[in-house]
Amino acid sequence: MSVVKRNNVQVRGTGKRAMLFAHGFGCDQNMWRFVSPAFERDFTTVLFDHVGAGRSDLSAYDPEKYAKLTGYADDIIEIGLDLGLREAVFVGHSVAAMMGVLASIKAPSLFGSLILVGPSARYIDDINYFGGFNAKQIAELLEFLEDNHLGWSAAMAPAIMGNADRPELAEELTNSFCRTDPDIAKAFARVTFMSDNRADLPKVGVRTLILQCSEDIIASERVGAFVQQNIPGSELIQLKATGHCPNLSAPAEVIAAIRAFV
Amino acid sequence: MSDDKGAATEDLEDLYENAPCGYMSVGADGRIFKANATLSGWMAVEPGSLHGRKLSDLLNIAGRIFYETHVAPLLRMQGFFNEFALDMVTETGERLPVIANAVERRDAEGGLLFTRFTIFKATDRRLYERELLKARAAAEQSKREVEELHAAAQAVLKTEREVSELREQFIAVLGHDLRNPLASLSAGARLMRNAKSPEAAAKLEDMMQKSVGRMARMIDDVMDFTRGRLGGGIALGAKSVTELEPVLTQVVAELSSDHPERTIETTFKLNTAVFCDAGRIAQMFSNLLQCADLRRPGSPGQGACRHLCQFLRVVHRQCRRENLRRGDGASVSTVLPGQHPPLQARPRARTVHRVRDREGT
Repeated sequence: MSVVKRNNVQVRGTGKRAMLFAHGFGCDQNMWRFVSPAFERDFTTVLFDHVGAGRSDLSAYDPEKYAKLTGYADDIIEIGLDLGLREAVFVGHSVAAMMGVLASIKAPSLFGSLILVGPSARYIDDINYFGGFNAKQIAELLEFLEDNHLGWSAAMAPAIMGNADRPELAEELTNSFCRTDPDIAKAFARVTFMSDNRADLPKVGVRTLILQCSEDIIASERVGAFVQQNIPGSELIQLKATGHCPNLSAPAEVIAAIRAFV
Repeated sequence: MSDDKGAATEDLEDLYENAPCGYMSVGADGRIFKANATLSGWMAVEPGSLHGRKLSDLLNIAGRIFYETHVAPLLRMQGFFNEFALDMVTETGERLPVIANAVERRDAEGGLLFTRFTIFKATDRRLYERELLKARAAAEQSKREVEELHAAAQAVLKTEREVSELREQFIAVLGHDLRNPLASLSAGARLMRNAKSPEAAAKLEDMMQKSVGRMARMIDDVMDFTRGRLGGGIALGAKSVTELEPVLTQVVAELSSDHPERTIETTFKLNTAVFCDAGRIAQMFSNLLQCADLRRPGSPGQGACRHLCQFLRVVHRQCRRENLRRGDGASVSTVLPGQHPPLQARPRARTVHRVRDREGT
C-alpha cells in the first residue's frame, strides 16, 4: 500500500519549499481549501487525509496504531519521507498541531518550521493546568459516541453507506467533506480528547508559530498561551477570527499570518 | 368566509414568531441576533432574550464539539447542512434533543453574512433512533453468536474427522494384530489333530490358551476404546481390597511366557492389600510394560516407561499409605528391560495407546 494512496496525498504548486497541511478531528483535507491555494505559487503544497477520514484507505485503519497520536504522527513522517521533504513548513489544525509536534521531535530534519492552528496540549483540566474541559465532560462526550446515541454519526454515516458501491460519486455527495466511519470517528475523538502532549512541547527544536482563535471553545486562549510558553522561542498570533476553524471562517487572516511567518 | 378570516389573521411576522418550528439567525461571530418565539419558548426564556447569546452556550458539551468540528466547517464548505442532530440545553438545564437544518447567507464574494437555522424538537425521534441502534446492536450480537456457533461446529467436525481417522487406524492395527494369535490358534488346532500323546496335546493346548488370552486382551482394548468413544471414559469395575503383588506377578509371568526372549526382573515388597479394581490395574501394568522400550531413546516407548514409573510410584504410595496405617513398610520396583532385548517392537500398538490416552480418562 503506497503512502500516497493510503492517506490520499495531494501534491500541488510549484515552489521549491514544501508546505504540508494536516487537518484535525472532524472533516478532511478540504478544511484547507480556502488557505492552501494561496501558497501554490511559492510552495509545493501537500494535503492529505488521516487514515479513517475523507478519502483515505479505510482498510489501512489499525485500531492499535491509531489509538495514539504517535500513530498519526508516524504517518506524517512517512508522507514526508515518501515525498523527500526537508525543512518543510508544517501547518496543522486542532489535534493535528500536536501530531506535527510529535513528528518534528521524531524526525527533526523533516520540518523547518511548525504553524499550529488552534493547538491544545491537553483538553482535560489537570492540577495547575486549564484544558477547557473537565474529565467528566469528556467522559460524557466519549460515552455519547460509544453508545452511538449522538446524532452526528447518524447524520454523517448515510452519505457513506448509501454510496459505498459508487465511490466515483463521492465528490458530489452532500456532507462528504466531513464523512467519517462512525466507529473510526469515535476512536479518533477518544485519541484526540484524551491526549496529553504537555511534556513534548519543550522538545520542539524548530521555529514555531501558534495561531490562536478568539472565542474558541475547543482550544481557548489560555490553552494556546500554555503551548506558546512551553515551546521554546515560539510566537503566538491572536486572530480576530472566532470559533475553532479560522482556516474556513477567516482564511485571509490565516493566510496573512502564515505568509508573514514563512 | 372562514377561509377569508384565516387569511386575514395569518401574517408573515406571526408565521415567523409562532411557527411550529424554531428559527434562529446566527452571525459570523457565532452569536444569535434573531430567534423566534417558538424557540424561546422551548429554551424556557423570554421572547427576544436569546439575542446576543452565543450559539455554543445553548448546546451541551458533545453538541458544542460536534458543532465546531463538523457543522460549522461543513456549512462553510457547502453552504448548508440538513437534518443534523444536536442536543440543546434549556435555561432550566433540561436537555432538548433537536434536528436542525442550516443554510448560510453569503455575500457576493462567498463570505459569510449569517447562518439561518430551522429547528425541530426530536425527543421522540431520538428515542426511535436509539431503539433502532439497540436493534442493530442486537442483530449484530446475533450475527456474532451465529458465527461463533458455526466456528464451534466446524471445530467439532474437524475433531470428529481426526478421531474417525484414528479409529480407522486403530481397527486396521487391531485386525493386523489379531491375525498373529489367530494364526497360532489355527496352527495349534492343525497340530492337535496329529498329536502323538496327551502330553503333547496338553502342551499344544497351553500354547493355544496363550493365544486365546492375547486375543481376549485385545478385545478388552476394543471394548475400552468403544466405551471411551461413547464418552463414558474407561469405567472401573467393582473395587475390592486386593493383594496387588500376585496380580502384578501374574502380568509379568504372562508377558514373560509371551516373550521368552525377554527377561523381566521384578521385586515386589507390598505387604498390604489396596482397595482397587485389580483387573484394571493388571491391564494398565501390562499395557505399560509392553509399550516400555528403553533401548530406543526418543521412541514412544520412553513415554510409556515414564508412565510405567508413575504407575509404580502411585501403587507404591498407595501401599505405603495403607501400610502407614498399619505400621509396615512397602516397596515396588521393576527392572525395566533396559539391558535386555526389548519385549517386542510394537510401534503400531502404541498408536492404539495414543488413542487410549486421548479417549480415556
